[in-house]
Amino acid sequence: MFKKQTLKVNMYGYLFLLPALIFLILFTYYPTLLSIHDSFYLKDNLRPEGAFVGLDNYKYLLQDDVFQKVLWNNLIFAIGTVPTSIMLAMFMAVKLNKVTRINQWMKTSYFYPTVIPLVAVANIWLFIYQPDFGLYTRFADFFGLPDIPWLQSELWVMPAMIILTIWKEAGFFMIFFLAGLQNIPNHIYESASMEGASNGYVFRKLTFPLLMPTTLFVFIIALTNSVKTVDHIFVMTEGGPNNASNLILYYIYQNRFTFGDIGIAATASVILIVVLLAISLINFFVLDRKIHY
Amino acid sequence: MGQLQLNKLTKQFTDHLAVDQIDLQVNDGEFVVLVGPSGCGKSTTLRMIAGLESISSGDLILNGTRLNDTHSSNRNMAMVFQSYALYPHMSVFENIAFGMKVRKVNKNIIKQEVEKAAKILQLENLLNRKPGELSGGQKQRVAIGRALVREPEVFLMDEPLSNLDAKLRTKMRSEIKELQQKLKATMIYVTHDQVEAMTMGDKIVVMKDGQVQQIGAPVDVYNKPINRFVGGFIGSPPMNFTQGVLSNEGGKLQLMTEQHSIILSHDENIALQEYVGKKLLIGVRPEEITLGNEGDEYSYSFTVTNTEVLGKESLIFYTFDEHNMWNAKLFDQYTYQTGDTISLQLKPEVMHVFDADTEERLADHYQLSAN
Repeated sequence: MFKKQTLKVNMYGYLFLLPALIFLILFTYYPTLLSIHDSFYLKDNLRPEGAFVGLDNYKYLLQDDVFQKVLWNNLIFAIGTVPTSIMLAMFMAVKLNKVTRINQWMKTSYFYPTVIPLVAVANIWLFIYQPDFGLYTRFADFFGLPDIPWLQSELWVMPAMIILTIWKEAGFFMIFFLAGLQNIPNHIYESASMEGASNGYVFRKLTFPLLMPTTLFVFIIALTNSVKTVDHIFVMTEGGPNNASNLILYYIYQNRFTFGDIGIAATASVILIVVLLAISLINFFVLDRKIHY
Repeated sequence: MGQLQLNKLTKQFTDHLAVDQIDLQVNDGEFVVLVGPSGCGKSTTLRMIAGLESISSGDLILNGTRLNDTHSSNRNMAMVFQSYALYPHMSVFENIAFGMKVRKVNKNIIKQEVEKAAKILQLENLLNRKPGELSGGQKQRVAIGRALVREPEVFLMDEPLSNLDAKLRTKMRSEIKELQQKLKATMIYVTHDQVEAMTMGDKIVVMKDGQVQQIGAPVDVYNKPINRFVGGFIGSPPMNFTQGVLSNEGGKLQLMTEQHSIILSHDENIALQEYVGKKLLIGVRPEEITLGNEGDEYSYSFTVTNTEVLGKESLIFYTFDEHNMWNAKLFDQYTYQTGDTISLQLKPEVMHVFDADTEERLADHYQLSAN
């Protein structure tokens, strides 16, 4: 009798869980497991059924110059975009926190790039970076600055991508910081002001530490974004020139759909999953403890 | 310690006048309480003194120096906020030390000062805790500690007890008062709670709509409220009021109200007889109404609407007339039911007489208690 009752209660529980579970299994767990499985197989358009090769795919990738370059590129991209966009977002939020008419307009315009699809953003910046008649070239001509072959040079293509990404993301992160600032009671600032604390001191000792939870949250989003957004590469460079703007996700895409190498794409995916998992573990177990909520 | 003077201090916000020409003298070592309903301008006044709000006009003078344009950090005042305004990510020690660190005080001295304040406020064991781990009363003490180490000329307190529960409030009330006397500190304290004002202040300032209504010692304000508002605001439960026309009935001065003829005097030669034929407002404190006997000269009958027994005292709510609900605080336990008839005594000497139109208290020689 009792058992039957428990079973019935549990049944309800699982039924409520079912819709979410179906989609999670279909689009997350199953592909993850399939990728792990495929990473042990030599599997491409010629061998769609696959041949077991053990760790060969991993060995190959670790020795592959392009994969190494892509990892390196991704690191540079993350280092270039994450801290700068966070600092910029925090700066904008602190400056625009006071509600005035001008600030509302400024906030809107800073947030605006967020609502434009990344593909459209890429097209806008394609026009800016265009050699000879692009917006930057004209700007540079006017001020007598040197022309820069943004997308044509291995040296400049990554900075070009980084600038575009910061432009696109800083306004989005600003919203989180504005929300974070709303949570800091004004009396704290009044009290500090009566104690004679300067603006810089107040920012360092009060605002910045009290924004830490927001900063961590934004940091994780920015970091994962730096790995998972590659739309602009399709539009602007296709990873070139000479893989100088290639990122890991685009590399996976290339291997799977351009070269048809399912095994290698799956292996790179598994490596990516492990890296992302490591990042979130660091987040929850190390950084979380050092932050006051 | 400091002597503070407010000369016609005014705060004009874009859409309304928050504080209207306040004059106030705060003496060295005095505990002054600004009291009034919300929106009366008491907090704005305090914030102008603190320098958190600019002064629209008038002068703020501390020990002879005009402070209007001095930055709040240079006014030598310390404020305790209603929300405590503790820095949530810092320990109690760091919270108290914050101001000294800003002023780059020597580390050893900081430690010494914080420990001294902690000892006074019994915070010694809590110095390493974060505000989130403290009770409301402890947070309050930390906020006071932060003000203490400043060694200010004037302590400013903005409703510091309103976030505490009733029991703790009573305790902190006497603690703050005790501390103020021990330090001989000049203190300006804002509250909407007339009990706090009565019990803590050397001097209370009753405010309404940005204007000072009355300044004086708590007992004086209680005994001689300057107008209807002060009478109703100071004292709990509030003063009862009724209006009527004064008439002379065969040598007896009576106030003719809607339903009752209230006898004010048997002596038609008193000063009040000037008002015969005119409207008057009288106020009677609930605690000065006593149980009467039917047929007694000063006894009147009323219908009870509710009774609250508060222990050894009872609050009787009753209908004075159609427009006025009165209450009486009787010493003892009574169990009147709704609809019961009660006979209560209203002696002339407990009545406060006000002008019916201006609602201002009549001069002392018109008051019945003077006879």
